[in-house]
Amino acid sequence: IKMEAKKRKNRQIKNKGPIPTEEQVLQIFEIYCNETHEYIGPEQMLQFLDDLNLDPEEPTVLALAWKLNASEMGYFYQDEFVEGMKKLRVNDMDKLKEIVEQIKAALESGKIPKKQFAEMFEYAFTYCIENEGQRVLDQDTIVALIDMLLKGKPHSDSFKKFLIENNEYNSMNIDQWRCLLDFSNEIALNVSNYDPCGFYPSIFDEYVEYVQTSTL
Amino acid sequence: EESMLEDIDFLSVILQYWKDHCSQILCLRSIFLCLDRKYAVPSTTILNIWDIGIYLFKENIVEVNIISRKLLNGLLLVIENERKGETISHHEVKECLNMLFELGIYETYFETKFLDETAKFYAVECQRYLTEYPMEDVLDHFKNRFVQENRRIDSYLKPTTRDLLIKVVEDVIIRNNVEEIINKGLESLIQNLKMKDLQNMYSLIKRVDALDLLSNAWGMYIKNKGLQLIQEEKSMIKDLLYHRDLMNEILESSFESNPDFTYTLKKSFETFINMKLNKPAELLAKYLDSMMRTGKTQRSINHNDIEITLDKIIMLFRYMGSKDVFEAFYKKDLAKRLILNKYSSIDTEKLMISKLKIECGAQYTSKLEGMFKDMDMSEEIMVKYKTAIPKGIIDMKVFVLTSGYWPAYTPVQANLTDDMNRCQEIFTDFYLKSYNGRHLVWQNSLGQCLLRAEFPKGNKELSVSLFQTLVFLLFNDQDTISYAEMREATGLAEKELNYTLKSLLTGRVRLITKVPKSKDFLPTDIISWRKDFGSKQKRIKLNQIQYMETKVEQKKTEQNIFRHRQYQVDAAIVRIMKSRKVMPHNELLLELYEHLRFPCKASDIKKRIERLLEQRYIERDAENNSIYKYL
Repeated sequence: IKMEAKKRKNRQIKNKGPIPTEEQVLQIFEIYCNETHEYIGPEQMLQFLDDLNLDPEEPTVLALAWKLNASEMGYFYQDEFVEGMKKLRVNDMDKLKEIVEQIKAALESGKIPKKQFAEMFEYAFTYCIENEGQRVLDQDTIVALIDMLLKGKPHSDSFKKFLIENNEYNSMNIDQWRCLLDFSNEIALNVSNYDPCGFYPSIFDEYVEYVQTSTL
Repeated sequence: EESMLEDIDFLSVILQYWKDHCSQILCLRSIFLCLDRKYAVPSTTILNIWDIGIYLFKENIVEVNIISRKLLNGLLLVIENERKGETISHHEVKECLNMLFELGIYETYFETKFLDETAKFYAVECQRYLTEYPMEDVLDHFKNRFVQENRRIDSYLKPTTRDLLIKVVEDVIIRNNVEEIINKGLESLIQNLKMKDLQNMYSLIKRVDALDLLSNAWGMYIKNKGLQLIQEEKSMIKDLLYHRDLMNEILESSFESNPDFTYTLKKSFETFINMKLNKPAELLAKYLDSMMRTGKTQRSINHNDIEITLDKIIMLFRYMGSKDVFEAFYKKDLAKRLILNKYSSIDTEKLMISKLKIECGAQYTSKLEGMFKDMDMSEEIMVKYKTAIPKGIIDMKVFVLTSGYWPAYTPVQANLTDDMNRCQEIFTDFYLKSYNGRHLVWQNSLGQCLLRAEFPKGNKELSVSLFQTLVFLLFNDQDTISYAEMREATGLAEKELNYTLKSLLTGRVRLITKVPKSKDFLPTDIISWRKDFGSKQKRIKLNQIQYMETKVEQKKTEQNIFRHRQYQVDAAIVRIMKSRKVMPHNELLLELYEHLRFPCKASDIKKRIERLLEQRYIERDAENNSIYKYL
């Protein structure tokens, strides 16, 4: 059994490639970082993403940020970048381009394991938080996130409309956001299988009422 | 007709033959007695003479087709006639049946057919009665039929037939018609207060073990009627008390206080009363208040009646889920009654508290009891105060209220006169000397005064609120004053001043006037006292406003109740989660419904859960959003 496990481990490493050295990763970092060498910031980001054939609006960017566990939107700090790239086994730009393509394909095909997507989904929320102690994201940010992450899903359009039209709920906290993913996946378009006594936060009760009254 | 008569007459004919035959056989037997006894009786193969005689009679007479038919028809006809009301010869029928019994064919020949005919007869009769007669008469008639059939058995049928006969009658008359009887009769009998007839219905249905149908239908009636009654707020409590009284009477006099029915009564009341969530509890408290305070209604009720009424109120209270709503409103009204001295009898008040205590436990009434203790304490303090300071600037009586027991009052800003302020200071000093470490806050909105007013037409004594007093005192120095100046002088906020002025300008007795007479108040309005005021009464009460409940007050009470409930829900959730650590959403809801002593909607509970999630008391499970974990 020990032999099997070792073989498996070796196989895994082979597929991913060798762990890069600190220097290799820093090399990439240096190309794009700011003057103080602390981070890749908003000004440098465009070039960075451009070189990777990435549009700043696309979900792949978010996924990349998630993989790097970036703490602040628009910034890749040195330690995050180095740690993240090491985990991804990126030793040069070509490898990074390859990884980015993989992520892109996975997102487009939708073949991402549920747990991972849920993690990324929740991460997206905290990623967009700008101020210390901020608990909610405003309407515009939520709408943008929905466009990015829940494109084509059953409730995306109507939920966006609901947020805009509703007076009481025009921001969301992280708990409501988390449940939105479940809601998107589980609840039918005509909300026939929604139970108001269930665990979904009250915002969804309101949304379901909204759907029911607007289809009358 | 002719053949029928023939059949009936035939009975006596055949009886005659039988009698003759029997005596002849007996004769024969006595002739051949020796042979019969020694030879035939012990033998198993040879019949004895009597038996032979029976057999021969049977074979050759009774079982001959035409005779058989005529005999049976005759018997059945005669019985049918009796059922229809005719008188018949019991003796004849009895003899015939005895004959059949001797012949050994009573059951096979007669009984089966008889029971069939009975069933047919009653089936037809039932239908007719149910469609043509009112239910009271129908039930009466059915009851009588049973009496008749029992008599029939005693008179001429064989006792062995009794159980079978009664069963057939029960099945045909009652069992087949239970639903129709209930559907047609129950509601109208109740509405027309026909207790005896309801009792009939009950006993009849009891015979066929179908009481659960009656119980259910009764429960439905109670619920439906109850639901109607709770739509009318004004008369709700009075109607409910009456409804319960009536249902209880039916239960005791017509339904034999059957425990199942008692349970149905309870359950039905609980169900419909709690459909209106909090309103019934609130209205019950208000009804009690109007009963407890001084007024015309008081003098007409004597002590025994009061206790009975209180008991009935407690019974309604028992059904209600929102007992905290009742407590909040009752407490508020009790406080007013005590402070403004509006209670008609302190004993009745204490009696009610003791009943509530028995019903809900000491914790529920501890604060209410505290209020009474404060009243007694205040008396004692006043005695000490009067000995210490015999002559004050103003003759003042103080109630000291322990804040935890009484409803929450907020102090209202007002400029009291110097004398008043001085009096309050003196008392505060005196009090704090004995009770060091306590903190006194004067609640001027609750204050009352007795004013001596000198009018040209006669001096009067005015019973007024403190704020009304401040308004009146201004006229000591001037005859007219503008609204703006009044506001400045009294220091009352606009809302408070307007409310006070309205009570003086629009009451039955008006001592001041305003120019212009508009409903609104402008700073430039001029208010003057009525020099020309006159009245036969020496003492005039103007402070009813303190007693009335404002919309603001109502709202405040409701808000307090709901805030308190929110705390309770939060505390319950935290307590449950703390002990269970992990719990699925649906289970948590179920536990809460069990724990919470008031009705609560799932959506309200959800909102509390969301708050607790936000405050990081609990979190969702990472894998499954429907499971909560304690943090």
